[in-house]
Amino acid sequence: MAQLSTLPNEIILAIISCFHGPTDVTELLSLCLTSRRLRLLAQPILFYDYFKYVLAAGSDTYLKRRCRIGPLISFARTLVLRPELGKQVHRVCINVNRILTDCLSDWPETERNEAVSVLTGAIQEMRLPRKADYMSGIIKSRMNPLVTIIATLAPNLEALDIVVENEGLRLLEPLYRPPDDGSLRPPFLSKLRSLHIRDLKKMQHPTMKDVISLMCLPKLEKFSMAFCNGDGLACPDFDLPPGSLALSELELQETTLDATRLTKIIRACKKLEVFTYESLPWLSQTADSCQFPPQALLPCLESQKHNLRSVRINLDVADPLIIYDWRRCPQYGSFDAFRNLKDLDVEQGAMQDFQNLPPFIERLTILCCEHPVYEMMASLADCCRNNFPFLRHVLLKPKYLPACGMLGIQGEYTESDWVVNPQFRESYRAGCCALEAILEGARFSFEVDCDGWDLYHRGDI
Amino acid sequence: MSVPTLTFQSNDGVEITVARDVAERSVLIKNMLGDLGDTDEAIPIPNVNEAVLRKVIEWCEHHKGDPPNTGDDDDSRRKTTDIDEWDQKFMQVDQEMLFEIILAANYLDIKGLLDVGCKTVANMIKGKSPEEIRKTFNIQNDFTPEEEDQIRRENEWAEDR
Repeated sequence: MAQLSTLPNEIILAIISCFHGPTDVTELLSLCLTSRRLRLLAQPILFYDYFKYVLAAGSDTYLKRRCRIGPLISFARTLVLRPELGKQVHRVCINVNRILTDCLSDWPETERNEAVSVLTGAIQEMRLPRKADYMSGIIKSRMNPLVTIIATLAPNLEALDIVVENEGLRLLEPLYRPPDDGSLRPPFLSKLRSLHIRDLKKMQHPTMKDVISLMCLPKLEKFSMAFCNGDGLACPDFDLPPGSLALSELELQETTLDATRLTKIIRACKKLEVFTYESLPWLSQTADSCQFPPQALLPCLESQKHNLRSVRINLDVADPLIIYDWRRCPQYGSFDAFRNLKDLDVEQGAMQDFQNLPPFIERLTILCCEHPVYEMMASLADCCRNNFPFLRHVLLKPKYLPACGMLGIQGEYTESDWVVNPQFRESYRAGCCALEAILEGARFSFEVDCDGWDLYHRGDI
Repeated sequence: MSVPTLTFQSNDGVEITVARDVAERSVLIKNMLGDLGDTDEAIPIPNVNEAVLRKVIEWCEHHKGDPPNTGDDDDSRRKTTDIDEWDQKFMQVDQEMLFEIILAANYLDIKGLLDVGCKTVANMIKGKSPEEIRKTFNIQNDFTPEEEDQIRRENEWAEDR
């Protein structure tokens, strides 16, 4: 008689593989405790991902782990004791960046002593420099020594996402730098394909200059960084040989870089296909910020103009607080030479002449819409009558909800006005109607990324 | 022109005629026909009895118009919740039949049916404690208390404590 327990392992594995992501951790934990056979199959799947979030016991709520170092200590401890599980770890996402509520010093004594003993014992065995620093880091519940232990024990790690703060990149060096003991051992992150770093100290910690070494990891395809601040004391000059980086995808969020540094990074990429740059919001920038102006973007991207498939750029230059008339906004210029560029996301105002779109564009997103869009969309529809034959979708993203600015509705409203304010609803409906009328017959499909637009389309506004 | 057909023979000796395009939802059968050419003889399907074979054919008939699986998503993990309504009803069978269908889908290499079967079992596991899983699937607890403690400690990083 066929039962779950009589199925071959490959089928049970296919069943258990239905569970993934932080939502399904409870099921994987239960399966690990059901029987020896199910544990053997479920535990490797549980260890595939270390998540940023954890499901709160007995509820559907997710807790961010940013005040918690305990789970990271426990994870590292298990990898030391069960090295075969380390081989299953493929993605690690750590966001410890708040005052810790569960330092080792707060643990029950027996558990604390056992964890310290396991982890310091592992450090003794590992080929790490300055072992005493790692051991004291463990005892003080610091994040970086734990990240190093985990990465050392996870030879198949493909994606790492970390928040760095007061520790900078200190004690992470063995992950990205070959040892100076003459051995040929490669850095521990040699197989890493995707890296995201969020530097809450905005490139002030002296070790952040090493970010270059991280970008040079041999298999790295995607590098993503938040708060890469060119005005920070430790921001490197990015003097990299042209074509030396394997990256095909580069994402810089909440970043402030000058044109020289950005040009060097872009030129260092062998074949960059996807590029995202979002500057710090204008209000967060200092008066003497090094942030490059819109007209410097295309010269920065020149070396990759034949490679780029997707570009997202937002320098926040059209905020109504800076520019009353968005038509006076500085321009990015013409993407005509970007023959392979299919996806372009650009903020409202920084591209007013749509003849400047890349010739084979397929999807256009206009970000941060806060000024009335009617004239702009009429101009786009008109421009596309004889140009850009492959453009099939245009998306508008409002800067602020409920998207009054882009619909030209005067006054201050909130999203609840979609439901409770009849006068506002009428103005909103008229705005959406006018926008639709302008784009009637356009060759591309059109959408506004806003619940109000969906309500209008469903006939609820 | 009549629809080309094939005949299957279940392991309990019953012959069932089925349209060729329906039968070719099975990659095993499709490849076999590609290698050996057409046949008028009944194709034996060992390990699959008549009742299960009829269920498998019913599924293949309903899904004969589905786009072929390209195999591109082999590595992507399956999502538990997205079983379409017809498939949900189709899978409302006793456990023995459910596992027999899964085994037959695996043998005949019918990826869509195997997916639906696996998702159905996964949904039966969802939200259950270890004890409830054991009870549902008649599994014996073969852990010692010490082993259970050890597993809890190994996995405690994944829980909210």
